Amino acid sequence: MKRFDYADEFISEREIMIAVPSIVIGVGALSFPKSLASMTIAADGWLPILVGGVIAVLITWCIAKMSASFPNQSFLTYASRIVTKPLALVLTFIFSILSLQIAIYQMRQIADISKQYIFDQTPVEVIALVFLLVVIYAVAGSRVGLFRLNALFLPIILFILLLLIVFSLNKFEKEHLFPIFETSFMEYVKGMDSVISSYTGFGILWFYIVLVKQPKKAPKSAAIGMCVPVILYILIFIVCIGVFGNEVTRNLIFPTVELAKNAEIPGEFFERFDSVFFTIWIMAIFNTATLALDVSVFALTSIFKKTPKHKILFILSPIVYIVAMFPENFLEVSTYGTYIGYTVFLYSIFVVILLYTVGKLRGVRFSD
Amino acid sequence: MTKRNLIQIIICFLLLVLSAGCWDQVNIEENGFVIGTAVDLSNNDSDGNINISLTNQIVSPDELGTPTNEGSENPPFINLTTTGDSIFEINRKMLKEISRVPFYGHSRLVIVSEKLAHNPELFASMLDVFIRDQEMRRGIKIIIAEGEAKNILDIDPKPEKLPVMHIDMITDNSYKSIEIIEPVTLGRLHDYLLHKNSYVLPKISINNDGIDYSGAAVFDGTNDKMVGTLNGLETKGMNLIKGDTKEGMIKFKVNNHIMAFDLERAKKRIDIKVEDPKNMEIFITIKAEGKLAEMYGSKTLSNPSYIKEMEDKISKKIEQLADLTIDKAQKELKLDILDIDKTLKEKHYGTWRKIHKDWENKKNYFSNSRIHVSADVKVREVGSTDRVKEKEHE
Repeated sequence: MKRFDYADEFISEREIMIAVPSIVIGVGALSFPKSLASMTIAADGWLPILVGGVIAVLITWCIAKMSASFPNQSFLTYASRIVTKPLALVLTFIFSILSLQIAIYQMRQIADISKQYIFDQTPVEVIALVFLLVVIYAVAGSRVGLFRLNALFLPIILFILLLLIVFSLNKFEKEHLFPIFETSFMEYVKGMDSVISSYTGFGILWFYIVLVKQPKKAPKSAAIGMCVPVILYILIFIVCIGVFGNEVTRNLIFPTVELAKNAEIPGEFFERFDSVFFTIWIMAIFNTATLALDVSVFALTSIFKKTPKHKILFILSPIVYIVAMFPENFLEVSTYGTYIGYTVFLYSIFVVILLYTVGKLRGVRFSD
Repeated sequence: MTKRNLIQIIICFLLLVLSAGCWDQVNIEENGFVIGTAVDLSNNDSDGNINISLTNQIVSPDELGTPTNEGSENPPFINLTTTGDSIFEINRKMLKEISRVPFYGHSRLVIVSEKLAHNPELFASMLDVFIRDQEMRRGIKIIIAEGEAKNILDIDPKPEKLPVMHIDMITDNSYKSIEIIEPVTLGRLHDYLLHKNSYVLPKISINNDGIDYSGAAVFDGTNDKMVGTLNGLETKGMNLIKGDTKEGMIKFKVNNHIMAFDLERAKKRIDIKVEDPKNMEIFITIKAEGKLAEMYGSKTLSNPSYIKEMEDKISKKIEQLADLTIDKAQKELKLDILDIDKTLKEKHYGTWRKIHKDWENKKNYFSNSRIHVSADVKVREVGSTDRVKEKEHE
């Protein structure tokens, strides 16, 4: 069997712009309105989304900028130059583990949601396995191919989200949005808390910028890409509050899924919008899971240079599956998700600060 | 063929067989589509436990016929009743009685009997499964039935084919009349149940020649128990104050001639003086406009002062209707069915937070407040003629 090869293993900055929202938009978007609404009053939650979003965009830009200042060098290479090889190895390894956990969490969560809403009889184990098999198949192929797949899926995902918002508008009640700005400062901070874990994933840039042909343009594209989920999350949140009201939103397990169930397509011809929404959303989760798993593999191949990619992938896959089956119920799964989201977010900030300060102290030259 | 090739082909076939297919397949003919449910309180058993009886209306598509081929004589639906003390249990029991698995994905109505709604806590607990179950949709409408709820699923649905569809379409017409409240969906009810505020649900009853969908059932938000009803007139007053209804008819009299005003748009504005919570003053302004739909008598309408007189009369009538409802809400029910609480929360959040627990209960700030209603009516049109008959001798 001859496999198709792309002309080169490089990507353009536009693909980075697509990859960032592709990995960020995942299962978090289905549940974040719940935790956010329970911290804030009425629709005030949009503020933490925005502030958290701005922080996320900034960090994204910093990561891209830093990686781009070492053109065509992998994370391990330039990190070694800054903080010595052993420490760089540890940093890379932790990245790999964290990315792997994102993939694990996404897979488990989508398997649970699918079982709840669509596959009543199918065991979670089977749904997760089937999903994982497809993800492995995607990761085993060309890395550039993954980016092409993202570019193919993302417009469809954004389109279905806009449809969801439009079809929900006729049930939108603006009274639900009031009163405005009655949330106390501490509650806003707690709200930020719940948003941040839905913004993770931009850590992939540490590894993918090396693939970009013209890395100089990458920081801007990455930042623009990161704006997409910020805007979408604000829209989803406001629509959720407008349709359900704060009190109901905080009591729904997956407000966005309920929104899809609630949406009404005019004309009564097509009654169940949620079926379409689910199909498309699984594509979004697939994007997130493949990129996360791929980054994990990518990081490990840079450590174990002699081991082929496929071998690493086939060692990781059973681990992904087994760890995903650990949490016993939906509470444990969501706690796991929050914990990972947090860790990845903070770890990314930590690495940016670490590399920058140590680099400056030791006088490593960042190009421009 | 090499051995390697052979293994590859075998694996391909295995994958084809093992990974294709659907674990959850249910043939569409095997689904029993439940389109409506009625819930009644059946007699308590000897242990004193509460028993619920659930009636599902299940469509039987064969009898329904197609547009070109009329169905058979039999009614195109089956009403299946089972009793138990948990709705979920009842649903499972139903599997023993009907060949098709009840599927709620297309359900439209839940009708709950008054008797059950009068039972504190039971109403909310009974609805839990309807909100929790993923198969149920939040758009399902809730109606309170006078008398037995299951009888309503047996009405003659002409010109529709299914009783549930018949009722569903009637509820959809609610925007044409201000004597009916807008349908309340499960999603909205979920909101109501989560709040402590009182709320109203539409009411339905059977009369001699069919169903009567009018009035409203009032629920106390603290224990979700039905505490009273509103008749048509009171519902009218409530709708005018809440500004929910877009269209409606108001009958009034000028010089003992009956006239009908067709309300086309109504806007309300609520202003609250909150300085002294114990003695709040609430000003409700209703701005309505519409056209003259019917006129007895034969005075000419081209006279501006006569139109003005009519507008005054209509305003009076609206104020009267509103006062009637306010009186009932403040004195008899002592519940804020007019959603003034919402305005308080939106505009005076600080005050609301201090007093919202005592708004309808204990100190009952709502009942102690003074509510003033003023209406401002514009008659925009008078229809296609000035008068229909010759001036009479007065």
